[in-house]
Order: sequence, then structure tokens, then C-alpha cells
Amino acid sequence: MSNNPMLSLRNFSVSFDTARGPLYAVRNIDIDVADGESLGIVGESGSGKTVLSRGAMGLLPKRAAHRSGTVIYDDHDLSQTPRKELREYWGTGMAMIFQDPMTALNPVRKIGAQLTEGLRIRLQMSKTDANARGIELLNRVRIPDPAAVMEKYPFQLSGGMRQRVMIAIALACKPRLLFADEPTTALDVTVQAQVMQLLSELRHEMGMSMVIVTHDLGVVAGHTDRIAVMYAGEVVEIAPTKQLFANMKMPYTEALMKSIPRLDSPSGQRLPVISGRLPDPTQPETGCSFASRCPYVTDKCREATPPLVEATPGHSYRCWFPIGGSR
Amino acid sequence: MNRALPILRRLGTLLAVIVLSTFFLSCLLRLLPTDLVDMILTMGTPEEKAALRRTLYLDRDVFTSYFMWFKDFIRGDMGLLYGTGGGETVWSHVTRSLPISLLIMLYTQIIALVIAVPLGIFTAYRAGKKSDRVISNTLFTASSVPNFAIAFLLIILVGVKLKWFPTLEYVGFKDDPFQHFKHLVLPCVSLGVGLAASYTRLLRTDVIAALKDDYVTMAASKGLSDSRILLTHVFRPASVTLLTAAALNMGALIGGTLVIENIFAIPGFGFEIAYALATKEFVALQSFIAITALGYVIFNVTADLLIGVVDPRTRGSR
Ligand SMILES: Nc1ncnc2c1ncn2[C@@H]1O[C@H](COP(=O)(O)OP(=O)(O)OP(=O)(O)O)[C@@H](O)[C@H]1O
Ligand code: SF4
Ligand SMILES: [Mg+2]
Repeated sequence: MSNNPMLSLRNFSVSFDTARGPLYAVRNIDIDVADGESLGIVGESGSGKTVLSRGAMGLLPKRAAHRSGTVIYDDHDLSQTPRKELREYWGTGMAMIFQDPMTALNPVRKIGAQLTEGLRIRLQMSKTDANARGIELLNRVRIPDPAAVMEKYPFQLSGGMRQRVMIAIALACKPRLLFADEPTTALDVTVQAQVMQLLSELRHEMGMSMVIVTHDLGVVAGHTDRIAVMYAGEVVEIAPTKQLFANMKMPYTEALMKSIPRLDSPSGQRLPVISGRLPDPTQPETGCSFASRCPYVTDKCREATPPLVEATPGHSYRCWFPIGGSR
Repeated sequence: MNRALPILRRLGTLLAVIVLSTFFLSCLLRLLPTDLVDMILTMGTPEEKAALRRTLYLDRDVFTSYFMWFKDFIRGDMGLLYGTGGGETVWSHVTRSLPISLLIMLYTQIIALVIAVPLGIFTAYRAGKKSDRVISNTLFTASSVPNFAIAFLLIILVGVKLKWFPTLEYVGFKDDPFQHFKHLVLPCVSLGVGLAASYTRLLRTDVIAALKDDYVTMAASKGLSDSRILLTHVFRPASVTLLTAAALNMGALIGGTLVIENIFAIPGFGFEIAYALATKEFVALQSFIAITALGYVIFNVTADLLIGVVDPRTRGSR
């Protein structure tokens, strides 16, 4: 195996054609995911996390979404690969846990059918083998009475169960890289922790790489090696997880940090939310994209776009006036 | 949850609809400007007339007479066609003509679905493109033309000018299967075009919606082929709506079939009704209309039950 990263995005951008003109959902992203690594992608709703992960896999609709830049997976340039060949990677090379387990499971097909079809078609398993493996998988994601669940429809399961089914489906063909798009958002807090724990266990067990997408820094804190913070389609800070928590540079990361729900906070207390909204993605602006909401904003921020600079090896950020730096 | 209860409630409604509609008819029969018995036995002696009055329960009050009629009807005793000299039973006409009409309806549905499924899927994948616009607009136009107009058009073009298909009469399947189908092509196509148009539109909408749904992207992310995704993930959920529409349209199809049979001189149930109307066979007509109402209700109930079977989401919630 080469020392190159398993997945490598270079200058990766995605834009959509909309009625109001092109919408720049993801802009100039450079990200690597090493073999066996767990990378968190964190950002608020609308920051482009889903578009980034689907775009990297090649799952965006061809007609509406324009991709540019390169996606190198296992030394193959997927951005140049036709969809027919991309399919060879899907399920076995890369798989995805979708954001909403209610809409990502086909409402009129049984769990068993949806779970085993990948096994049967991609791995050419027989029906009996695939069924046995399906039950094993459901068992592995800790679904009680898996044989009965195989015969059920998605609407007959609770949210937590559906999410576990999604995980089982994504893992069915033992992918080497798993994208988990908000794997816990639809769940309540105790179940969230269980599902994250399960994902971490499975990652170690199967030796796969994982990209965990979330809007909640707290969710990925204990389950990732590195974290990339996204804002308005850009990576604004990326660092090893410990380094990020100990020594964040970007004011947006700080704001995200403050909005992590704390278990010891008095119940009912509202979390500090970041005031203001994301800039309009159809109106590219000059200057720092966080300027309109940043407490430390100066004129320079509005006039010139801060470049991605390295604080320490492996820790980069985009800000003229980083926290802890000279202001 | 008790699943029998909603079905029972439905059957109750069904019975009520049939009773009310036929009771209304039997009241109408008493309100005819000329007395029914006088109409049938123009030359009859008073004794003969009295006997017929008793047979038709016209000597009883409205409710008793209706009740007696209903009892006979359920048993298949629907009286006679008096214009034939009293030799033929209504029941024999029903058993002869009804299967023909049901066959026409079945073939029509098949033709409509065979046209609509590929077109619906094709136009959905091409949504907004030129081919979609041409097909969708053509179908929309076709669906606004009434059945009988399409029938006349087909008769003139395909039947009379091109002489591809016969335009009159009926041949039983057992007598000559080839001629049987050949004779039913034009009637069933005339009936099916409108249906095909509405099914295509339904399917197109559903497939477009399904293609946007995450579960289709999810299916793709498993590395399945496009044709498999189309079949198992796009078409299957969309077919629920389609089946529902097909089942619900059976009832609506009754009316069209009755008209079309008269245009193509097919001795089906609609032909019998028209004949009974023209020859003032009111006794037979009452049973014919009761059967039509029965058919309408049965189709609708079956449709409801069928939806429950094909769409797991509605199971138990009905
Ligand atoms: N198919 C599409 N067509 C047009 N715009 C789109 C499309 N998909 C996403 N977008 C836009 O791209 C931007 C990023 O969306 P994305 O779904 O990636 O956000 P996200 O970070 O995943 O948010 P969330 O936490 O709500 O899932 C948004 O402005 C969104 O409106
Ligand atoms: S560049 Fe300026 S506006 Fe942007 S995050 Fe840094 S301090 Fe805030
Ligand atoms: Mg998202």
C-alpha cells in the first residue's frame, strides 16, 4: 500500500445552478483522509457539509451540480471517472450513512431487502448467505431480534433503530472509507452517544477510514483524529482534534465551541447560538466570509480574504487576527 | 389493532349505497307517467294484468315491494324481458353480456398501463427536456378529447380508411382468439388513451419525486446499476400510486365502456342497458342499474383493499 492518503481533495468546489444564479456551496477545499483515519467535518447548517461529502463520493446529480478540482481515491482520480465506473467504488470502496434515516430508507421495501441487495449484487452472495450476513450485521449494530427486523418496513422502526439499520447497510460491503453525514442528528442525546460509540468500535474493528459530518463539535470530540471546521463552503480551520480544542485560532471555531451542549449545564438553559446568518452563497463577497458575524472584525477583514495559513504543522486556519495571536 | 373492523364498516357502506340507489329506482318505476303493467301488457285482460301486478309486487306498498324485489335480485331472479314475449330471463342477458364488458375494462386497463409505464418513466427522466414536453403535451391534449370522439376518429382512420381493424361486432375468445383481440383493439384503445394519459402524468410526477428522494441516492451509493435502481427503488414506490389510480378508475371506466359498446356494436352490458332503455324494459333496467351500482361499489372497495396490500405504510392504519 502506498503512503498516499486514502482520499485526497484538491481545490475541490461544487456549485449549483439556481434561479438566482450559480450557488457556490463548496469552495476550494483541500482535505486529505489518511488510511484508517477518522476526520470530523463540523459546521452549522448550510455550510456545505453534505454537498462536500456527496460531491467527494460523486453522488451529486450530474445535471445540477458542477464540480471542479480533483478527488483522488486510492490513487485514482475520481473526478475524471465516469459514473458507470464510479459504481465499482460505491458500497465497497466508499459508503455513506445519510443524514436522515427516514428519507434515506425506501419506505416500501423491507429492511432485509435493502440491507442485502448490496451483498447480493456487489458481492454476488447467494440469497441465504446474504440473509445470514444481514442478520449478523443487524446484530452487530445491536438491533434486538434482527431476524424479525429483516421483515419490517422502515416506518415500523424507531429513529434510533432506523439509524442503526442505515449504519448496517453502509457497512454491509465492508467499505474502506465511510462518510457519516450527521449520523446522530435525528437521535436523542443518550442514543447519540451510543451510536457514536458503535461507529468508533466498528471503525477500529474493520480498520476503515471515516469522515464524520456534524454541526455539533461535541459529537465528534472523542471520536476523531482531526477536525475540519467549515464555514460558508470553505474550510476555515483544520487541526488534530486535541490541538483544535486546546488551541483554536479561528473565531468561528470558538463560537462553535461555545455552542456545544454541556451535560452539566442546568436543563432548559439555552445554548449560546451564533448570532447572524451565513452569507448568501449566490453572492460571493470579498473579505472574510465570517466578517458579518465576527466579534473581532476590523476593516481589514472586510477588504481582504484571509488565506489559509499554518499555525503549527497540521494546524491551519483562515483569519487575519487569530485567537491567541497578535491582534 | 382490529383489521376486520374497517372492512366491515366499508361493506356496510357498500350495502347502504346499493339499497338506496335501487330503492330510489323502484320508487321511480311507480312514478312513471303510464302504469308499468299497462305498458307491458297493452292488450292484456284484467286478470292477466292483475297477475303481472302481483309478480312485480306492485300490489304491495313501496317498502314491501322493494324488499321482495331485493330478495329476488339477490337470488338472481331478476324477472323477464317482456318485449321478447316473456321468453328470456334478465339473468340470462346479464350472464351473457357482463363478462364481455368486464373483459373490455380489463383490456383497457392493460393497454393504458402498457402505454403509461414506459412513457411515465421516460418523461420523468427527461423532465423539462424537449422529448418530455412533446410527449406530455400530446398526452394532455389526448386526455381532454372524450372517449367517443377518439372512437370515431379511430373508426374513420384505422378502421374505414386503413382497414386494419374491424369497427363493428364482437367475437368470443373461445370462438376465435385472434379475431377476438382484433375486434377489441379499437374499442379498448379508444377507452385507454385518456387513462394512459392520466397514468403517465401520475407516474411522471411520482418518479420525478422519487428521483429527488434520498433513498434513490442511497441506493446508488450501494453501487447498484441504474436499471436496478429504477426498477426496485423508483418504480416500485411509484407503482403504488399507479395501482391505486388504476383500481379507482375501474369505477369510472364503467360509464365509458357502456358508451363505447354502443359505438362498436359490442353486445356487452352497456349495449343491454341501451337496448332496455330503447324498448322500455324497465323491469330489466332496474336490475341492470342495480348491477352497475354494485360493480361501482365493489371496484372502489377492492381498490381500497388493494392499496392496503401494495403500500405497507397504510396497513393497519385503515
Ligand atoms: N441540489 C441543490 N441545489 C441547489 N442548492 C443546493 C443543493 N443542495 C444543497 N444546496 C445548497 O448548498 C448549500 C450547502 O448545503 P448542504 O446541504 O451541504 O449544507 P449542510 O452543511 O449539509 O447543512 P445541514 O446541516 O443542514 O445538512 C446550501 O446553501 C444549500 O441550499
Ligand atoms: S478574519 Fe477578521 S472577521 Fe474573519 S474571522 Fe478573523 S477576525 Fe473575524
Ligand atoms: Mg447536511
